[in-house]
Amino acid sequence: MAIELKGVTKRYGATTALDKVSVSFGGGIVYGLLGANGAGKTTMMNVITNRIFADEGEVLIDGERAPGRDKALGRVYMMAEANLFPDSMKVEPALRLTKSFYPTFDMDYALAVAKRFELPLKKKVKSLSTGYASIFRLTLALAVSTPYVIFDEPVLGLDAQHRDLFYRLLMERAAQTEQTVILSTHLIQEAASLISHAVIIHSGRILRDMDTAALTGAAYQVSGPAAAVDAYCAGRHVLNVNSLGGLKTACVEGEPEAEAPAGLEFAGMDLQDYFISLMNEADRREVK
Amino acid sequence: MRFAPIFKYRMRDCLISGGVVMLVMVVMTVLSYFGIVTFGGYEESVDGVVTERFATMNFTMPYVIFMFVVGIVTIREDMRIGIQNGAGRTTSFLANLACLAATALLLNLNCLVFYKLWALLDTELIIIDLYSMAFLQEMTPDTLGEMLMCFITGTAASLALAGCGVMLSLVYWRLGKAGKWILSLGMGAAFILFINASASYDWLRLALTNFFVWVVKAPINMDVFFLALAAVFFGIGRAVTLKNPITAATA
Repeated sequence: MAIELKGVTKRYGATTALDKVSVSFGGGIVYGLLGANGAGKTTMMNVITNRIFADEGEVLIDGERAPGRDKALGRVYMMAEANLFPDSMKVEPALRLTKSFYPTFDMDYALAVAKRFELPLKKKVKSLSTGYASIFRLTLALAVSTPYVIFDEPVLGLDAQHRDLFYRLLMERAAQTEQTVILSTHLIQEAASLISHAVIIHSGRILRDMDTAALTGAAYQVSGPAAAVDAYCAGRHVLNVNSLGGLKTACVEGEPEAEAPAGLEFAGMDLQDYFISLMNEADRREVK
Repeated sequence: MRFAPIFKYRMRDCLISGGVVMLVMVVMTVLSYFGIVTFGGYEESVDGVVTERFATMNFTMPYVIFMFVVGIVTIREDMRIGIQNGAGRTTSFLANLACLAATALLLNLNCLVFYKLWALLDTELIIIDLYSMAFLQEMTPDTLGEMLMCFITGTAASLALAGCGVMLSLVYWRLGKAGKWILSLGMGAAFILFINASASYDWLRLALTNFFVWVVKAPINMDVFFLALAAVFFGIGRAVTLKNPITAATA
């Protein structure tokens, strides 16, 4: 049981936003959908939820073709950046409206979340600030109990305290339910502890689709004098190199030796470091 | 399964706005009546002697205009609410259509009820509608059959205008900036050209005249005409929704 994209392509004029993308999301875990601006993340999520149509390929939700099928679409809830509720609608009626579509929507939980975030229930959706508009949308997405929930930039405009609260609530929710969560965010460092599986997308193509631990364990950093680092990196797959004075740090794919050569130091990589290195490498390849 | 929530939400909205329109019409009718009492209405006289003194109040026109506006403003909202909550385009479109049809029925039913109540007062103010304008020489429908025809014709006209609103709203949603300009200017230009062409070409004028003569020849013709228009408008609207991206409203 999963959301499956098979050879999905989406073009906007001359721009290919998604290029034969095949990926699946399932298993009741938290996926991190990571990519730079314009990589195709939002396009992918919009294709899954049928806000837009793919030019080629197909989207299956639990084995059923998604476009136009209420049953399939009703199994996915997307918290998008853009608000699709009427501007004149107030927050509380919007929660009730969502409840009318999803009978298992946890209204008490939604009200409790709204209270914790101090979300004004009597305010119109249109008049909410950027941060509170995000809180409104994430409140809906947290309280809905569909098998798949998609968060597109959920912490947009949120202060550090509210971001932390959201991550904690999401972690609690993910632990309590069997939901598969797709989390698209640029704040990788903050969300890294939540993400079990990373899907990294660049220029409409999937670069990596792996378990987070395996992904970060598949590369390491080596640092030291520039000449020693260069000598060490010769013949290895280097993702990224940073220089500072006579020192260099290189991100290398593969597993490090048990002992670092003299003068060099090995260090592990976190998800954000790995992502940045991978993006830099991909950009360099594109330039070439 | 997802039809009902959209229908309920929209129906509640339409009942409120439709209720306001009905109330405005009733208030306007009452005020018009007092206006006639105070200032006098339209008079017909023979040799200087007033033989008849009356004024008319048309209910169909405001209702069809209301339906046109409702068609324009509700369809995009329903498509957005639907897709946000896991409803496909067909479900959202059908829920909106069903709601517009129900609203048209209710408005025109209200029209009939008000006719009867107002007729009991026997005033110089006559309430008319599209059917009575075309087929009853602007007299209030009297028999059950006439009232039924008023209801059917009014509902069919309301649906046609609602369909026009839905179609225009969806077509403009689908088009890019240049397309919107071309369509906006093109519609005006096409209309002017068509009017000029019908004045210049006898065969076209004759065909148009014959067509409209046929439309007003019998109530059933008029009903078929409006229902056919509604079917075309809703059909085009549905075709547009098949592949259109559903985007958020922009300020």
